[in-house]
Amino acid sequence: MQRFFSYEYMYLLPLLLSAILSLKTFRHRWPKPYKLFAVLVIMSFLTEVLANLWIHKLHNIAGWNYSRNNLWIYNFFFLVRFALLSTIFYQILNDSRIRKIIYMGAIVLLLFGLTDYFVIQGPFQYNTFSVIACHVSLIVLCLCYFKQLLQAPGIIDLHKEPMVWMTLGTFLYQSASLPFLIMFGFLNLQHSPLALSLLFINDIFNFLICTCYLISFLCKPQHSQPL
Amino acid sequence: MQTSTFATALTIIISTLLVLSLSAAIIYFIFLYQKKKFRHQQELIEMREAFNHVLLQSKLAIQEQTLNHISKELHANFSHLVSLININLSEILPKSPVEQRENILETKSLAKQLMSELKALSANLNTDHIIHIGFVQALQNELNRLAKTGRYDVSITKTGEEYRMQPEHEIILFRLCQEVLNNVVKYAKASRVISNLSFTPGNFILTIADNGEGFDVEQAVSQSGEKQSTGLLNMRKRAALINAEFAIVSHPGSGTTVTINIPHPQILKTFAV
Repeated sequence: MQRFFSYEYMYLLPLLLSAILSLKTFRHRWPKPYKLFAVLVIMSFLTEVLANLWIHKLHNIAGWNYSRNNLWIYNFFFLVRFALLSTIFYQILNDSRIRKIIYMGAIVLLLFGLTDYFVIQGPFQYNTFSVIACHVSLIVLCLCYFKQLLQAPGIIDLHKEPMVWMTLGTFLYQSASLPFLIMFGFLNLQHSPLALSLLFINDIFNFLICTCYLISFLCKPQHSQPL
Repeated sequence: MQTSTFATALTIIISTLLVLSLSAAIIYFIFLYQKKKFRHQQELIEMREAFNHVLLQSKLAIQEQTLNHISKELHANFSHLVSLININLSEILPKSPVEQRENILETKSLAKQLMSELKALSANLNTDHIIHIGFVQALQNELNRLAKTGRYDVSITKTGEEYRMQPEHEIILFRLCQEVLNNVVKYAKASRVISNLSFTPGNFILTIADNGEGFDVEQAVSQSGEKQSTGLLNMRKRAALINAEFAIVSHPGSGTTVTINIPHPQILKTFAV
């Protein structure tokens, strides 16, 4: 139990709090994108719990003797997360051209991700190919949302809008962790101790994204004020 | 090997920091842009409010000019004509047959009554006259006119040390009261009108209450668009022009109370009550 108090698990606290707070999206009947965002946060928390339990307990319980490697959980969750985020962006972006691109692009990337998961790199190796492709497309989608906010005829208080905090966290995480994640797969194969020593970068950004998610559920959806 | 490991780690850390800085700069720019947009919106709202304020002031000034003009016309031309009618009747009276004299005398009395009504009306419409006699006296005159009709039991009470406010504020306040009293006559079906004026250095509070039919204020406000009725809106706008708080309390069947509260009125002169 004591190991969970280590700094690398610190992000679990804001994640747990945001998962609890996210339940209000259902109780207060917030619009659909916010509910999907809540599902994403709850799933993230459950995945983290499952992945950590797998390393410490589940891989060797009730007579099983599987590998401690929990990348198969993260790799699969990553595809689910991408699907949910694509759906959220599909709903919050107004430009019909971008929506069409999201629809087609998400299907193609998900198919590629599944192929990578089962065939190319496999579930027990970090799926760098699909991770990079999905990261880049999510960064572009975040930028599209920011562009929409700037060009909107009305005005909202950015720091009070949950979706802004969600996009902000996602954008910061996806962009800043990209250089590390690009190298992670390679380092993991070639120089595993170095890859593990650099994991703190991912932990820092994990904490950052979870804090942004927590802030987002402390806000209420804003209504645009006409100019 | 050691060097290449260090170089790889350093490369990853530096590139991560670079991308993070770039992302932070993008976010900072977005917030800055939105802040500027928000400030621009605030300026637009302030400009619109200032424009509406000036527009309302001009409308009221034009209205006052028109009322002044009507008042002068009533006083100069109409009163003159009524005086001529009276003189003519006085000349006809001795020459007319005895049986018609009573009718002529009654017509003379009606002409006199018309003359005094015209004078009172002219005085009420005349801005200079209202400024001269002051808001309290003008309101008292207006209430007296209402009482003279015999349809209303009118009472006016004053508390505190009476004072005069800025002339233009007094005019707006008086026109506001005229509109309130006009509504009492037109819609309230009341038999009693009570007015109370409270003078304190920090507040001037005027209350006009009637015991009429009353109405649903919220419904009246929401239906004002459909009925093309601007009375309530005008009263609120006039009150806002003199920084007064305007409140109407009314319910169907329980009369209406209008309260006008001017916090920190600009006092010009004080009178002992």
